[in-house]
Amino acid sequence: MDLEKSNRSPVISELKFAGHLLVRNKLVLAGTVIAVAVLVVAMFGTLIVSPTILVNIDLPNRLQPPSAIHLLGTDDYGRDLLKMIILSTRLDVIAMLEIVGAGVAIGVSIGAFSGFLGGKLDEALMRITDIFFAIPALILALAVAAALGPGLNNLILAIITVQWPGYTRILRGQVLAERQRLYVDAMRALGIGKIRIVLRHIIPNTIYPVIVQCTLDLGGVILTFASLSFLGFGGSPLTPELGRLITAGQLYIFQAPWLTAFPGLAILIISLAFNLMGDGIRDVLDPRLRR
Amino acid sequence: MSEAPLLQINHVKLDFHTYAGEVKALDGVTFNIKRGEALGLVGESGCGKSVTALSITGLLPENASVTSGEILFAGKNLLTIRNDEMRKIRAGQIAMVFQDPTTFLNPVLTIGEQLEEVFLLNPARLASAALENGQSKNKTKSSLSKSEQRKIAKLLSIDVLKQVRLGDQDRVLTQYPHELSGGMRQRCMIAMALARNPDLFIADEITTALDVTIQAQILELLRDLKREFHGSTLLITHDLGIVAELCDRVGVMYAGNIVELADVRELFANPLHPYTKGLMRAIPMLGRELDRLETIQGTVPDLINPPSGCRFHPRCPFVLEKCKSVKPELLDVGKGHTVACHLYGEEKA
Amino acid sequence: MPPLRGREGMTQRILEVKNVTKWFPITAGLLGRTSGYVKALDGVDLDVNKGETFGLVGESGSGKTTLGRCILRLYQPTSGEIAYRGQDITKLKGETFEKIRRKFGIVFQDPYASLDPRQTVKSALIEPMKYHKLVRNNEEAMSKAKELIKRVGLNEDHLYRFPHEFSGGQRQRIAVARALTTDPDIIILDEPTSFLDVSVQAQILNLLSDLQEELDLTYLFISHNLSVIEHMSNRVGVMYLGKIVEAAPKEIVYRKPEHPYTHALISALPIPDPALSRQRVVLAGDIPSPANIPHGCRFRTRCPYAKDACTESEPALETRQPGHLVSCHFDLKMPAPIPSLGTASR
Repeated sequence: MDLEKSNRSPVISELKFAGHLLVRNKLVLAGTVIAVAVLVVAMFGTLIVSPTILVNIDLPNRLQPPSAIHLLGTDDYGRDLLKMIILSTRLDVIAMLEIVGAGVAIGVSIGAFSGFLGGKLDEALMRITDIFFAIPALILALAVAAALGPGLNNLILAIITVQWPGYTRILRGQVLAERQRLYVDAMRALGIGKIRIVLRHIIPNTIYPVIVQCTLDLGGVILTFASLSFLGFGGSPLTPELGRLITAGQLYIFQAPWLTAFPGLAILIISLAFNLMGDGIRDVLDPRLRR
Repeated sequence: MSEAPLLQINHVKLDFHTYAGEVKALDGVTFNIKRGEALGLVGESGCGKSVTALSITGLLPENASVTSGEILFAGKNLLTIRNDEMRKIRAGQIAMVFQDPTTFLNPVLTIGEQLEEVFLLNPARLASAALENGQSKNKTKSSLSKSEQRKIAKLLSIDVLKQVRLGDQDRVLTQYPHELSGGMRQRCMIAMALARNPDLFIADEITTALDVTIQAQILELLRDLKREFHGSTLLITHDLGIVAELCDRVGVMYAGNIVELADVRELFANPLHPYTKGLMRAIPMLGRELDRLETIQGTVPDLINPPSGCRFHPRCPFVLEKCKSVKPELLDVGKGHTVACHLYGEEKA
Repeated sequence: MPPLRGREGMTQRILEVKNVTKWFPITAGLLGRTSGYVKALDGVDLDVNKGETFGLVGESGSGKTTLGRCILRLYQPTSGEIAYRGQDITKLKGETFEKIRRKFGIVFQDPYASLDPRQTVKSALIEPMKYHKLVRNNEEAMSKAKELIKRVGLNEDHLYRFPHEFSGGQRQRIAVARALTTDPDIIILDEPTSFLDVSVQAQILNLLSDLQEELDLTYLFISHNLSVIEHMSNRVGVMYLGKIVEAAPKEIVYRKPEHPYTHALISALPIPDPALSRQRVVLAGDIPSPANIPHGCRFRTRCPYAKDACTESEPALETRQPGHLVSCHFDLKMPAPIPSLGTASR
């Protein structure tokens, strides 16, 4: 018999193939490396920079341009901008992951059951999803944030509400196709219940496009979060967040342009890096999607 | 018969480049097709019969490369001629028909338009047809106006649809492929092939996707056409019944090689190669009261790492030591019957 | 073929299909009104005896696959009754239905699609056992899985592999093993070898025959391949456009059929014998669509013997001799569809 192939799950061999492809495209590779670096900074941010610097007010040194001591300059309280950016990155990245994570969880659950069970439930849920789509995302997020009131968590919740419908649509489409597959019939014929089929078989087999989409979304989500925060939503003015840094820096835009430039650059780089990484993942997974 | 064969394939080896490795799909295929004969190629999946047909017509995918051998047709080696020459040959002298008519027929053109295209590509034929019909006094193609060409093409189209036993030809010409049934689409494909008046007609599993009663219609049509069509046919199938009905000679392929080639009656009466024998015994045949079918143990080999020597040796019930290292060549054992097996060599182990 | 079994010498009907229909509505227009029906099953009657192999043949539109799915309740029949051991199962739900469902197994046509690509073989076999609580713990499940995998001709270490690592024939063996996990009485085989090469097909058919004898299984074998049906079946039912047109022991169906469609079907078979010469019956025209079934006898549009009576009324499926059912207005005496094989008497 011809079974000399090693005992590998399809996921592992696909990941190996993915790695191989990722390395080939230089731009994607660069993006991925930066994205990973950002994630590392986010995870260990508090070890590098202690949050106490927030209150290390050093007024004589305020608004200093970039120099050897303060690589990116100081802000209006005399705090080192680089350290501020590092702390803020941590917050932004965690918010981004929370938003996308919750969005995926909600979207996948609704999409999977709606698509699999069909009928009136599916109709109702899809109409609700349509309503969310009908309103421009940013405006809806603003409205929800305003309604929920100030606070970082409220802002995160607000963006989650506009994030989940996309995943619902994607997953539902996949599920509609997947439930026609023969193995689903085989399991139904064996008497296995619908819930188990959805959770243990349908979702794992259809989740790829959602994974692709959510990595592509990471860049955009962080941009949305920073933008809304810049506008004043979310945490207090003292919260270390990239958007807020820009808000604060606006006042000194002519005297100390670095206060707006560097946080802005940080947002740009992070967003771009995750976008490139998402592109790479999509390119790699795409042939898999055409199953 | 010392007449030269229409097509001669000599020791063709072909590889496919894939991510997983080199698939050695053809391992030195040798056979010929005589003028006016119907040659069948049988084998299971992966044996290389379709690939052989595609190499004749030059329709191989990009990742295929022929590593040795030649295919001689009308004095040319089809493997080395230029693309535009090959296209000309496909337009006129070699016609191929496939299993799935939906991928072959253009869904946005009517049958009439597609047939017309075939005829318009062959202006000489149009001119001679026009002459026969008394519609034109000139012999040169340039003197036939476009509309005259179209008219002749339409008449020829109706003729060829009649040949494939399609009724209501005027109506069929105006229909799109999706409006026709599977059997009718197959007939249209055959019509398009015949329209070229080819020297060689290649049919690759053309009845496999059809219902049994529709397949019967097509088989009867092919039987009739065999009498009317004076060219040669290469019939590729996995069904031994079809081969028995339609072919003059049969080649059995296994894992990229021709393992046996003989007249059809001789092959069925006297199969020599262990694979051929195994294949015939594995097929459930009407009237044989058997509890169990005889099987060929094992499975079709991986062509990325094919077995050494004779590719069938791991599954052969009569395997000899020699078979594991030396690949057997096709040997003539008389009556035009050739077999590639060490059991029939001069020295027997 | 294994002899028919039964209690006290009497054949026991394990499955009875009574006048089952399955109509799929065709919706058209903006308001989605039903403009017609695809009558996939239009009144099917058939009986399967315990221990036998009942072969179901037909071409596209015959409804044979739909019937298999209705029996498994993957589709809900539009009307009619399906009885398992005398009990109507068409309307059962819940716990009672799940118990009955376990008694049916299924092997599908496509070995590449009938297994979840992300599930190991072991998981695919154990899942139904544990879900139905047929085993008490993991050890019992594992030992049963090992037993089954060996029974279908594979090894224990195959349990830890994924479907894509196997060939088509091996996947079908796994599908058979999975069907056996719930200890079924009757297995529906829907074109189980159509996607397989001839040599592999022989292995699978032998496996099925062996298992039938060992485990006293009943098979409903659905196929369009007449040679395979003839080899495997005890009795054969021929379907056309949603109805059974003839049902009889296989020798009769293949040698002395009484329905002209059966006759044409058998006659259509290419026989691997070049010495055989014969006149094949070729039906005119195409198979009508199940959305547009001819009134009267549905076969009349292609029947070489059609008369006026055939347009006026539809013939009923009647018992002509014990065990031989035919639906035709006339008692046609047709020649043998295939003259004796091997003896080229002409």
